Amino acid sequence: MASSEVQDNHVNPGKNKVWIVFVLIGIMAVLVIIGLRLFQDGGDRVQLGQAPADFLLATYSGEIIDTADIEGKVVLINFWASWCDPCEEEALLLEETWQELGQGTSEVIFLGVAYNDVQPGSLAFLEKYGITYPNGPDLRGEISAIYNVNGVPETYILDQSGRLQYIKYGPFLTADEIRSAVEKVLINMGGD
Amino acid sequence: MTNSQLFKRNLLTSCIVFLVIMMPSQVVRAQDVTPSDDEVNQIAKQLYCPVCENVPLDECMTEACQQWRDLIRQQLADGWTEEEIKDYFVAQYGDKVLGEPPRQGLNWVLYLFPPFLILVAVLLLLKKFKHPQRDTARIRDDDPYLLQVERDLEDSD
Repeated sequence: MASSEVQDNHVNPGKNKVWIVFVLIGIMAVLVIIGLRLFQDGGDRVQLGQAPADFLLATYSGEIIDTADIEGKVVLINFWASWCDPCEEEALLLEETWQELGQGTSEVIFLGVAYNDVQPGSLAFLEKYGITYPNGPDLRGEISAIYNVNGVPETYILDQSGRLQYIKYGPFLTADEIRSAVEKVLINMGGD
Repeated sequence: MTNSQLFKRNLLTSCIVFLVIMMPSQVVRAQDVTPSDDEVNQIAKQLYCPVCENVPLDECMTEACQQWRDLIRQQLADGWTEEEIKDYFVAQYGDKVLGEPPRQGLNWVLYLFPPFLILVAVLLLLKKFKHPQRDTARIRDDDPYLLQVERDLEDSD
């Protein structure tokens, strides 16, 4: 009898291990799911010529701006934070350019997005540098996720049709640099 | 001194004594309004600032994290509960700020996978202890190779 059992075990050695294979497949499946999730979190940066998804910006002044509703305008989106030193100088330059370009009455609109910032800090920053263009928090990181922002400051300029035409990683150093970036997109639009 | 004067004097003395006793406690209450670093860090250690990946908020030394801790201190001073503060940060920055991911959606994998692995390991061990002879049982008496080896050994003797 015992000999027979021994024989059976030897004849079908893989039979008892089938369930182990299933468990291993299950473990691999879970690891793949986790890997895919991590991959999704660190997606690719948005590329020039692409049309990033629209978003809602709830500004600190209580306005809700839907980028889908901004038609026929170049949109400059600046990601900043009150704890970011290079953002301070740039904020003044952006405000200066914003004033020159007609404060949104022209073909250009500026949107400031506070990235991983606390509201009291953001409000103090805006007041300190006298920023008047619309600014709001990046709630739940949804806006920075669209552009896959890695740090601040970063600036993106969309053309009239909502396609990304200009990217600036790091701060603008002069108001001329901002103007020329905006004009470049405006000229390209005119060329179309 | 008349009874009326005596009563007034006692009343005045009582009022002064009462004020003297109450003054320090008022001071203490005023100091209590500002939450301590320990109270702030009790919440901060459960949060992660997205700017400084993998560093708990209570240990992070960047300006961004300092602002977060200041905000927590202010919220505590305003009477917010721990849950309200954590909910605020989640609403502002997303679930990624939580040290312990919420038990929902794919996050369940994080909670169920380790116990599942432990269960599998325990089952394997039990199986091993239940059938300890299994590995040796595969050696058969009629294995031609072993029989040949035995014959060769006998011949060599």
